[in-house]
Amino acid sequence: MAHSMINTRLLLRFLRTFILWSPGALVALLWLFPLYWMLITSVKPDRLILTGIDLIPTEVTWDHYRTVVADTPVGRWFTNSIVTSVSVVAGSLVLGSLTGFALARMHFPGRTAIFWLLISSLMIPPEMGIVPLFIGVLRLDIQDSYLSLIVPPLASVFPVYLYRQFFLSFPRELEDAAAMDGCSRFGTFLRVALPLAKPATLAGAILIFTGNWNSFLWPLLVAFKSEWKTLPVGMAVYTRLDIQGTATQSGYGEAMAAVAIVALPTLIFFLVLQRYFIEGVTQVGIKG
Amino acid sequence: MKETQLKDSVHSDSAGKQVLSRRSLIRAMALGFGSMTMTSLVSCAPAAPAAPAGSEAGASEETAPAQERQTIVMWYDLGASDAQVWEQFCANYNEVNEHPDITLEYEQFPGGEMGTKIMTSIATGDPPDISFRTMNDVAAWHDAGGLAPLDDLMRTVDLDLDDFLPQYIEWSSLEGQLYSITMDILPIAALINVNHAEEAGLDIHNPPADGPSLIEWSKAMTVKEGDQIVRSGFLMTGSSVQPNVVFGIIAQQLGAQPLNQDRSQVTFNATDAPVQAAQWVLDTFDKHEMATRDIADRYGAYGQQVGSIFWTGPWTLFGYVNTEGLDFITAPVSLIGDTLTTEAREYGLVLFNAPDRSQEHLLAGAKVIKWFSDNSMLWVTEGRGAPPRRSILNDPEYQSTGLDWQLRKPFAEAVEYSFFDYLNMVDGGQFAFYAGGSSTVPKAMDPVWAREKSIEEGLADLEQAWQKILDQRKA
Amino acid sequence: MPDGWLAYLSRIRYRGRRIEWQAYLFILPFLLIFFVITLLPIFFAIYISFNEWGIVGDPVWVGFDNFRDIFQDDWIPKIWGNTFQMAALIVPGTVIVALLMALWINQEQWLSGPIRTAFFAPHVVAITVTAIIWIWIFEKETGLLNVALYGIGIPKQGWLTTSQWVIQSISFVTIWQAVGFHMVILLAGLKEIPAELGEAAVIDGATSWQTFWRITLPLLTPALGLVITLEIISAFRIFGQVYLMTGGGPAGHSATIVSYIYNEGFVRFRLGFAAALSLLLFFTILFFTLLRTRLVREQSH
Repeated sequence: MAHSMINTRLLLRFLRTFILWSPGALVALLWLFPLYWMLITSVKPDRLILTGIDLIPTEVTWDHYRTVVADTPVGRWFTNSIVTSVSVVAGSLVLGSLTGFALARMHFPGRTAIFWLLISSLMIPPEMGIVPLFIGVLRLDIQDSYLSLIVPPLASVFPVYLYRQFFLSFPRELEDAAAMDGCSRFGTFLRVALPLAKPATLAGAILIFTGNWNSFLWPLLVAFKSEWKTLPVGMAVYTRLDIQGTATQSGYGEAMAAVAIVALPTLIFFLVLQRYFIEGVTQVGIKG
Repeated sequence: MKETQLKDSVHSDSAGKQVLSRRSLIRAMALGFGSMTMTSLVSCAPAAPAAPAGSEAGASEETAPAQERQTIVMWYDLGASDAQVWEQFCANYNEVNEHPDITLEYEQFPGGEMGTKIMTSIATGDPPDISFRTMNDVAAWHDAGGLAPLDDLMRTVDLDLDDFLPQYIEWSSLEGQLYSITMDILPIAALINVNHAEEAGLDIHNPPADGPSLIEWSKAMTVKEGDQIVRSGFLMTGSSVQPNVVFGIIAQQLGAQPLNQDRSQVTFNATDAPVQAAQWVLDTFDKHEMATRDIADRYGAYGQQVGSIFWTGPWTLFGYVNTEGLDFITAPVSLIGDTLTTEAREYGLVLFNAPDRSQEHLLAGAKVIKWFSDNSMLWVTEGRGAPPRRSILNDPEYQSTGLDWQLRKPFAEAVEYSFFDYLNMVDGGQFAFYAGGSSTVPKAMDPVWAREKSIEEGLADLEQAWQKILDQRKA
Repeated sequence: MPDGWLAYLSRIRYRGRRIEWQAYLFILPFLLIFFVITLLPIFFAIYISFNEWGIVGDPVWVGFDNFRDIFQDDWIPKIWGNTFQMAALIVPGTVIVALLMALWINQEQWLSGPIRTAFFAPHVVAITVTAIIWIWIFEKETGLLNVALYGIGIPKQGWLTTSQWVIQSISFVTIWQAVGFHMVILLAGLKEIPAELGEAAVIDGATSWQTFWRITLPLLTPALGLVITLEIISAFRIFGQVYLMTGGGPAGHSATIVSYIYNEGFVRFRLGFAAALSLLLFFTILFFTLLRTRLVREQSH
């Protein structure tokens, strides 16, 4: 008797959880569905793409991926994206941590004014300055180079803000202790503050990396030669030509394969490191 | 990278200005990062390895020794299937190697992006050498000082300008100088889906020649499910290029003249032709119900056979011929007004100039242009429109090679009676009916097609906007 | 002599404390880049907004002509209206969905993690990717949405091709992509609220609705404020989706302020006009952000 009672209780609990959570789970599945649809369309043969809406592909083909790889310098674009994003992450973290530290922990005239200047610049539409900036790049003759892809994103205020908020939460005693050890301010920064700011560094690295991987307008402008396009820009141009330009029925298979190639690195990156992603955004949220 | 090396070598010959400015930028960056290293000097910690993003700067190569070999950079903005043929054409140039001292580099852009990049690169003195595009912006490039006049250069490289039909020389000229070598002329004609016609019991050998029969055909080929049109007998889109180009063609068939002779006044609304033409366009949707506004991608729709008659240009042929299951014929556009005419554009090669370009370099560009013009048989038989040169028109090979002549013939013949939008004037593109986005014609007329504005309001707006451009041009 | 200088400098006080001069070295590298990449171009744009300039040649001073042109331009009411309509859908849509999901996930059940992951995933994908996926889903004849609706007897709709739907469709895609990010921020805010407060309220006999309204929401105000501000800024700057999905069509029904700035500036090279328009956009965003700060502050009192 007792045995079956436990079973009933378990069952009831299970049912309760199920009823409580299934609508949410359903919504979550729907939320992911467009990405899933991209993946399965990219492996469906052409004739199945336009005729059926089977949610699980009955036939799998890699032809679309082969076509995309054959039609585009995908390796080169991938390299451009990696080099650009990694450099921007490294540069932003160095600049952001130094500036954020000074704005949070150091005493000097202009501190508040500079902080508000940086924050209010977030409200300015970036398109406003993009024309002069673009002309500047052309005048310097550095279009089609890593320099033009990497330097402008380094002006982002986000890493500064992130580090500042993080350093603000440090107790004063830490610095005093460091000062007693005879560290200069830079020593304190490098030896004490920076190691403690590891969560902010990780969060910043991840968010800056995806942000840069995905950026569109600027890399579109500064790439004149195909070999200098980043992966999202190259694929966007390729698929738009494919969908709107040519009069074939097969456009969508290749288009989905192309965008899947762009999306998979960040998606995998996210799935592996999602804890840090969430922590990163949390940092922004709480400390903001 | 070859191109950059070459440019740098040119710079060092003449001014060295741009090379210098790049160096100064790198120096500025080094300063920026250097200041961080300085900071580390005052600390107790070991010096921080502070050499991040700037390290790539060293990779950009410095001045190379002057080279004999010239690299000619060509940009083109073809987007439809014709791009494949052009790419082949460019590859052929390098393969044939008629000029061993010239290498051709070619780059494809989406149309809007290329316009932006050409204009900005003219402004900063670094345009490509050659572009292949519609004539719409040629006058603007000329005004910006970015073009090389071609008369003397073409004489030097021996391009036979007398072989061209005179109107193409005239249209490619500004202030008495030649600036573009026409490659092909692209009139609008009608593609008609054979299966749809046969299903509807229509005689495909006798395509609709006038307005009433066009409507009759279109209605017969339209397929509805309930209220919904699932196949447009007459393929339209709700806004953008398609309704506007159809409107422009019909208005001019009815005798409308957008501008007066000296292009100082808008005369479009002098007769009621535009009103009738606009009404005709609206009727395709609302009265005859032979077209739906709900198509965004007209090319895709025709390929997927959800449209039966499609007024479009010859750039679609190569793709549709290779589309499985699509069987179509080409016919002239129908005569809806009093005089048969259709919209046409021309595509040409222009040569850019910049302060630091040597005469030899321009000459190399001119040689490339001549080669493309002389060898354009491939382009006008497989790729696209009608040739501007008598020698090709009269060559039996013109009709016998490439795509089926029956498909090309109505396009080629339409050249005779086409009107051209205002090619050789600044902002000429703003007078084109073949236009989308926020260009002048769609900006004024798209709300009419969407029934948000009356025809009269739309036409008044169009006239006002056009007149404003003309007045600004004068000022 | 230099020693004297240094000693003097190190003694200068600002608000009662010694100035840490090294701070300027800390901030210099970033400020340099910020100045060159962000500020300089903006000053230039402000200057250009009083000029007529077609990128080639010298700018010509025209005073307030560009601003006058803006108020005479047919499309200005239209694009302003479109942008406001999108913002009016996107800002509340994102905030409400994100808040509901955050409250729900905050209960910490075994599915919380995966659901959070699912909602966040679209946010890490490039806009170029999501735009192209949704073009395919919204496609009139063979797109998944219409095929599915057709299956249950609803006629096919032109989601991106009719004025009736295009704003809603683009807004929906934007919300879909943004919700995960804001949900996580709000979750962080919820975690900061001490559980005892809620428990105390329950003991006092408050319903869960009252608890939410009286305790959770006021305490969540900072996080909500941040979310709303970020959303206002990004909704008014909406561009990528439009540029990639509709190009502003049909008949300009999805053209937004920034897509028009791009068109006039980068396609037609009316740089003065485009700069003037972006200046107006800046003030609009500033106005709404300040308004938001006001409203939320009053709420919390």
